[in-house]
Amino acid sequence: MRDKVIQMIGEHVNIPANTITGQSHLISDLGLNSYDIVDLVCLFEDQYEIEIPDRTIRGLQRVDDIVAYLETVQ
Amino acid sequence: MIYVLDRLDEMTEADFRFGLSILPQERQKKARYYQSTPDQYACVLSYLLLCYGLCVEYGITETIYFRYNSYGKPYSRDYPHVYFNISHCRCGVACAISDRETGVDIQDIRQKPVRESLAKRVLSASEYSAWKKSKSPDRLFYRYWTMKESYLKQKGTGIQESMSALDAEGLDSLPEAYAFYMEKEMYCLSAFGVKDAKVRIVTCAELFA
Repeated sequence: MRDKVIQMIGEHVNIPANTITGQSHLISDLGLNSYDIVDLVCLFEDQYEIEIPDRTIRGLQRVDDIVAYLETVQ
Repeated sequence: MIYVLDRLDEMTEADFRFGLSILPQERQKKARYYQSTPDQYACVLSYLLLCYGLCVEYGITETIYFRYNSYGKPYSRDYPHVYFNISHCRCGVACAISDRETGVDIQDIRQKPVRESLAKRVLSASEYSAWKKSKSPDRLFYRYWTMKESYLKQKGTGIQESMSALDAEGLDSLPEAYAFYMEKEMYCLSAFGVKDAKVRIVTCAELFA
């Protein structure tokens, strides 16, 4: 799951996947802004056919937060 | 006043190293954390643009140290009565300075086409309808996005609130909203809370003079 998430993030925001780890912070490490994050959330919604509530987004700070959330709802 | 630097490509490696050296430690650390060069440049430039604006408007020349509210909105530790907000995207950085709470958002409008799921999450029912009918749906979307984002940044909450619950066109009629919107070929920009807003385009040469 983590490899897939990293691959999707890398492709979405044009960052080499091999520079992203589970501990990468979406804002302070990867440079994502609010738009990138909301767009990314929608990408995961489309990919996994789930709905991610607005209130959940704030908790998705690191790559592993996304991995953990997706594993929970899958 | 809203300050915009939209020629990131004019910044040289030497400018970056010099800019980085005069940043406070906390900002240097933040800039170094970024993994891509454009993000590092934008981090340095947005801070220098703020310093430039504070010098122009208030004569402040000291180092600006940030503090953050519970949602992460920065304010000046030493000048809490001076309100500002910063935004950057891949084609520019923007800084709004005001005598009241303010929010600004700049967005690259050359990105990939806006996906249906993103539009549904962000737009109100009436906005979504207008977006579906629009001949320039991406531009319309970014107009809505920047207005909502800058409004939420002015409030200090950012994207914690549901964006689809807001109606962008209705925001500028709120009391003392002081809404501002501008669109260029490569980006659009919106701000709230800047009375009689004007945009001042700043070059790297001016910042590093």
